[in-house]
Amino acid sequence: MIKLVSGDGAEFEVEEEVAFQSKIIKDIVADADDVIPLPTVSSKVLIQVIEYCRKHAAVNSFPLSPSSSAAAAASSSSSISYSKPVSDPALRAWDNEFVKLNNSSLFDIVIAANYLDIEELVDLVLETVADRIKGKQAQEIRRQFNIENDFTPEEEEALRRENSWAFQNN
Amino acid sequence: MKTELIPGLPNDVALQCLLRLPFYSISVARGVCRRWRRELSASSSFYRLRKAAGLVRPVFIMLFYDIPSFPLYRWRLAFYEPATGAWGVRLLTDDSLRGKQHCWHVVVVGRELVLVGGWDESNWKDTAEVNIYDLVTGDWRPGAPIPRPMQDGCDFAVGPRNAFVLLEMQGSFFELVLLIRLSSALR
Repeated sequence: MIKLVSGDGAEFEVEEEVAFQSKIIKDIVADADDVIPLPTVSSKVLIQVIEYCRKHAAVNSFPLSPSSSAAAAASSSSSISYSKPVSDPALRAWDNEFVKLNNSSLFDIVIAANYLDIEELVDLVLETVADRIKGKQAQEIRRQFNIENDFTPEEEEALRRENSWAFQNN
Repeated sequence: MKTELIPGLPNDVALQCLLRLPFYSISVARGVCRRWRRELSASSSFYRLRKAAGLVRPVFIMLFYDIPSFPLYRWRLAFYEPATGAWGVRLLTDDSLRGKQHCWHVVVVGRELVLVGGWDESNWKDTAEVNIYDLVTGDWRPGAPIPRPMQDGCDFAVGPRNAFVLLEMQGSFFELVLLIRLSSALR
């Protein structure tokens, strides 16, 4: 077992394979003791990150079920693959539920995951944030992410004309 | 000056989010604020990073026109992204770009659309202007004009680095003119 200590002093005991979803922790444990202080991560965020790691450690340690490995083979043969999509459909559905959070909670998670070097979790959150930007108009994007509109009204009118794709996504 | 791309996120992480935007969202994102516009400008390292990270997906672009009322031609662009099935249509030129609307010679070089020639309305004759449209950012920039207007029999040659235009001089003598040299960022 490995003990993780959050910035606010809470301690979490987790199995090695859960903690080792983080490459940084794996490296630290290799040459140090098993109590790892994480001063920049709050206990609220650490709970969420551990929940994610626990789920992914459990799925990654078992071979893929026949149906999901067939799905993975099918998706890899269909021309293009991006970053590294999670191939197990059940896990992907779980991930989709996991990221149903407001932006600031998601940001806290991605900052922690980046710090802990949990590549899959970073990817998942980045994709989610990008999904919340795409297909939206500039005004919606600003509102959702608290971004100040610093264009003059004239500039904005010109931009609006220039930028309008009559957009479809089926 | 405010430097955060997305308030609450470190800039390197925020940039990673923007790199994951599909190409059709980039031109919209450029209209969010000045900081995003600068980050997504054609000369920024953004597009090179996006390509290097393997986040560029193939997109088909179709150029076509309609004639709402003769003699007004309106060029339109359609895109289709096979990976997601997303598609859309946009007006390429608006009424303030009348010269370009009468351009009949268009060639795609890299990620840019090069419109060769235009129409001088007051003198009723073809012009030798060259206008270049960035398909990703939606920006127009002027190109160096060709020596004289295109005529029937003129043609293009597009290579991996350069595009040439073949101009007829007299009878069957042709002149090859360098139209555009691709910068490495646009290839």
